[in-house]
This record gives sequence, C-alpha cells and structure tokens, in this order.
Amino acid sequence: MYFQIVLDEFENEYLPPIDKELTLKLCEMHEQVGWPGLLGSLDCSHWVWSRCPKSLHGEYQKGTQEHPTVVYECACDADLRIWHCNFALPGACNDINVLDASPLLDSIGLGDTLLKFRVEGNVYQQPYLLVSA
Amino acid sequence: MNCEIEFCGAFVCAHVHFTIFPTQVDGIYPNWSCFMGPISKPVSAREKHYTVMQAARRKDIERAFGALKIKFNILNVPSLTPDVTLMNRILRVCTILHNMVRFHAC
Repeated sequence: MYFQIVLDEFENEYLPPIDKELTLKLCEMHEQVGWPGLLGSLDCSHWVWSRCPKSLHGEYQKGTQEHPTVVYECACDADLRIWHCNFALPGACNDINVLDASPLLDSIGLGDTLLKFRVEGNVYQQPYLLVSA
Repeated sequence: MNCEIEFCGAFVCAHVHFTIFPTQVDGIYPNWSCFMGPISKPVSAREKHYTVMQAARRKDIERAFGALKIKFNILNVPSLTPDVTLMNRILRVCTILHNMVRFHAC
C-alpha cells in the first residue's frame, strides 16, 4: 500500500523520534529567532471519526462534543515542520491524558533531550516546549 | 540576545523567601519544567512582554495545524474508516508529506 511505502521509506528521515541530534538542531534554530533552549510548540487537535463503532462512543465522545473524535498531539518548530506526532487516543481524553501517553514526554523524562543552554547569564539544562490553555 | 524568559532566582513575597519562581501554566497543562505556558495575570512590564512573546511563538503550532489541514483535506472532514490504525497511518503520512514540502520548498 502507498501508506506503508511512505512510512517505511521516509519515516526515519522526516518524522524521527527525538534524540540528542534533533534537540541540538531545534535549539540552534530557535536561538536564531530569540528563544534559546526552545524545542517547539505543543498542542492537541481532534479529528472527527464518523464511523466510530457504537460500543466505543462512550470512550471517544465527550459530553460537550457532537461527534466521536480521535485526538492527536503534534509539536512543531518555528519553520512549521512537525517533528512529533502522536495519534490514536480517544477523544474524551483531555490534554493531560494525551501527555501522559506521549512518547515525547517519555523521552524528555528519560533525559534524552538534556542540553545546556544559556539565557541572560544563567545556565539551564532542560529544553522546554510552549503550551497553551 | 535579550530574552524575557529568566525565571530562576530568589524573591521575597509576604516575608516568605522563595527560591523558585512559579512558572504559571495557563489552563490544564501541568506545571512541569519542560513546559512554558502563558502567565494568566501578568502584572509587571516584564511579565506582560513575556506573555505577548510566548503567545506569538506558540501561534506556530496553530499555523502548522492550519497548513496541514488545508493541504490534506482528509484531516478536515470526518473520517470514513472504522479502522483507527488506518487513521493513524493517514495522519503520519500526511505529516511526512507536509515535512517534505516544508523542507524542499525553501
């Protein structure tokens, strides 16, 4: 299938899991736009799933939503390149549950992204992500 | 480079000595050191400037979602497959193609 070919051929090049090399690249890139130590912006979005089985409606549909949705989480850099994408959580999950299941936060927690950077004379070693309400 | 993200340092509030500035994350995002949210009620000029700059940079992810959805309309319309793993693959392929376009466009 087309999907499988694209995923096999290009996933390592265009959507790799975060590591030291990618962290360094992102931090260098964001330092040029005035945010040293920034990894990117993180947010979640919903995709309506109209063929959701009835048995799963309680899981995939929030009380405030009209249709069942699947939630996905993306992180992008200042050049709009999406370098992290996590999918397939039920739409009733809020952003805390999505973060709890995120492989990105696992990598950060394991220390894969530790990098020393300097802001106004202070040295920090935890690169950060910008989040919203 | 003059960045308004200096949040470490000691300060005294109501005769109590704090050593860590509370990084206030607005909304439901947890208060972790790897997240920087907006300050919900900025008081000083420094905090106001930080909140404006943070919002300006955080807009990137909304722009990225917009670019992704306008490029691949399949993400904008309700999904017609009952298979959730297929939806996962569709999203990942769309993201990879979007990254390719961003990488080779400029």
